[in-house]
Parts: sequence; C-alpha cells; structure tokens
Amino acid sequence: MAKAKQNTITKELGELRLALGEIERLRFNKGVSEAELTRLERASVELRERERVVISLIGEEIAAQIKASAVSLSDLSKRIKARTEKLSRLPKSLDKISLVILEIIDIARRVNREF
Amino acid sequence: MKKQFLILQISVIAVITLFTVIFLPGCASLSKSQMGTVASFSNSCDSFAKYPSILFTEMAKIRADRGCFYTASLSDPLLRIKELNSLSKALAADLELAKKMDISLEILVSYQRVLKSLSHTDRYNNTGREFRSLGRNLDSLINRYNLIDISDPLPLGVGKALGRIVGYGAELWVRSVQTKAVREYVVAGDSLVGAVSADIVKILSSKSVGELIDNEAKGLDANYLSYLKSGEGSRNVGGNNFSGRDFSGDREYLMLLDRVNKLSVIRSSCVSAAKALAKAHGKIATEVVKRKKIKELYPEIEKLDDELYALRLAVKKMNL
Repeated sequence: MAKAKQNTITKELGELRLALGEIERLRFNKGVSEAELTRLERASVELRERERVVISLIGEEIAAQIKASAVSLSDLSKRIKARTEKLSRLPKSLDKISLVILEIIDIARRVNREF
Repeated sequence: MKKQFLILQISVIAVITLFTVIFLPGCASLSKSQMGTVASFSNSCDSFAKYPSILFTEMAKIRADRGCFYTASLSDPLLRIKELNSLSKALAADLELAKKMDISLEILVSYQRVLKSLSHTDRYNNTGREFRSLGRNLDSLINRYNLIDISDPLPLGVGKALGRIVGYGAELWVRSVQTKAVREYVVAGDSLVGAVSADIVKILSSKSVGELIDNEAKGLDANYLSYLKSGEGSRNVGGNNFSGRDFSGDREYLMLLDRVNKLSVIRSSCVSAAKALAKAHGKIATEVVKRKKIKELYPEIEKLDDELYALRLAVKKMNL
C-alpha cells in the first residue's frame, strides 16, 4: 500500500470519529422521536462497522510491512539451516576414514617388515 | 630398531593426519566469550519476540471492552445484539491479525535459533566423540583382519589411539568449519538484522500506529460518554455504592483508561527492544571476527598432547 493510500485511510479514521461524535450528539438530543432515534442508532452502528474495517485495513498494512521487512533474513536462515545440516552429515564419512587408517597401518606394517 | 621405526612411522602418519584436518579450513574456532555473545543475542530475541503482538492484542481487547459501553447505550435490542456479534467477530479477527505482527520477529527468532544451533558445542563434541569411538571400531576391524590369517597380525591398541588422535583432529576441524560458517553468516546477517530492527522501529513509530493508539483513547471517551448519556451509567441500583449511584461503569472506565495509557509505554518498549536487538547482533558481528586469544588455545594444545602421549604408549605396548 502506498504511503498516500495509508494516509488516506488514517485520515478516514479521524473523519469517522468526528462523524460518530456528531451522530452520538444527535442521538442523545432531547426531543428526538423514536423513529429518528432508531435511524440515528442504525447510522451510528454502520459508522462503527466502517471504523472496524478501517482499523483492520491499517492493521493488515502494518502486518504486511513487518512481514516484508524480514524476507531477506528468512532466506539467510534457510541457508544457515542447510549449512548446519551439511555439518551434521560430516561424521558419516568416518567409515571411509577408518578404512584409510587401517590401510595406512597395514602399509606401515609391511614397510616395517622389509627392513 | 624395528619397533622404533614403526613408532616413528605411525607417529608421522598421526601427525600428518592431524595437521591436515586441523589446518585444511585455515581458521581458529570460536572462543567461550564469542559463544556467549551468540547466547546473549538469543536471549534478546526471545524477550523481544513477545512485544509487537502484545501491543496489537491489547488494542484489540480495549476496542472490544470500550465497544461494550457503546453497545449498552443502544436502545434497539436487535441493533444491540448485532453490534455485540460484530464486536465478537472483530475481536477474533484482530487477535488473529495481532499474531501476524510477530512474523518478522519469528523469523528473527528462527535466525537466532539456527545461528545458535550452528555455533553449539555439540556440533564438534559429537563429531569428536564419534571419531574417538572410531578407535574402538578400528581395533575391532584389526581383530577381524587378523582372523583372516593371510598376513602378519596387526597390532591392537594402536587403532584406538590413532582413532582418538583423528577424533580430536576432526573435532578441531569441525570447530574450524563451524567458526568459518558462523563468521560468514553473522557478518551477512548483521546488516539484515539491522534492517529488520530499523524497519520495526520505523513501523512502530509510524503515524498509523500512533493513530490507532489515539483512536482507542478518543474512542474510549466517546463510547463511555454514549453509555452515560443513555442513562445506563447513572442507574440507581442501591446497595454498595455512593449516594445510591452505581460506579461500576466508572471503575471499568478508569481501568480501561489505564490500559490505554499503557499502550504508548508498550510501543516505546517495543521500539527500545528492537534497537537493543540490533545492538546485540552488532556485538556478535564484532566479536566473532576476532581471533582467539593464545590463552584460550592452551587447553586444546594440552588435550592434543595427551592424545599423542596415549598413542606413544599404545605403540610401545605393541608386541613385535
């Protein structure tokens, strides 16, 4: 979401607050008929619904910004994990090394016999 | 003479093997203090990871609670139920959204976990242990080889000693590879952690977050005012109240007001923690590139000497 759009949404939140304040003022005015009170209450509830939508939009945008900020770090974590797993596989080469050592001992033994 | 020559041969082989595995990667291992900085960074991450969602969760709960003042002010029962249902639905959605606020922190925690795992002592201790047990395996192999009876029997014991030497060398080798990897990733991660922390500071200090906090403060006032104007807050219920008035709404309002005021404190704490996190990682980056002090290398040299001595003893015990 562009910064301009974000500003528009936060501005709308302020405007909704003002509109709600005005409706609430009218709702509790003396001499308001029952029909008018119902109409004002419905309008008030609608405005509150819109307030929730706007708050949710702002929240989602904040969450998206937070998520986007860590994408590169997430990639690095995956690379580190792969390297760690590779490091863990190292001891598996022990068998080969053990055979080499055995061969070396045998060669040393044979060379020794020649002298 | 033969015995001395064999001792010399095996010693040369052991030393060559050892030095090959030690110096192949060409770098020293991490010191205790360097490991300590990684652990310290892990602790910073763990404590920081809880913050951002706390801020947004608290805002969502305050929004629902202040919404109850508003709902109570409605005269139409159907509208009141509709609004209560909407409040409940919105609270669930807001709490779900709050969890998403921790995503970058979860990634940071995941980064510190893999870093901690990569730099853990078990990584080389286990390898060393496996190599040292190789000594026993070698002796059993020699034993089996001797049973074939096609050549002169190979000496038992020397395999164990050689395996231990190689095991120790392997441990150092893994430590060197590990150090190289930790240094490489910490240096690469430093700018990224710094960028994530800076972004979080920027987001939490943004006008949007400020507006959300401000909206809760003003919304609480407005909703409680509607509640009072509707007469819900001034009903005379008698009994445990001052001059027959019910103050439970006022108490509720004061508690909510206190929570609203604390939102800014939580926000500031999140910002400070994000800055501290970047600083903690910066410390690791500075520390891990430092070379190990000679004093810290002594125990490793002593351990190496012990293993070479064990080899000499094993060879001496050979019956030629």
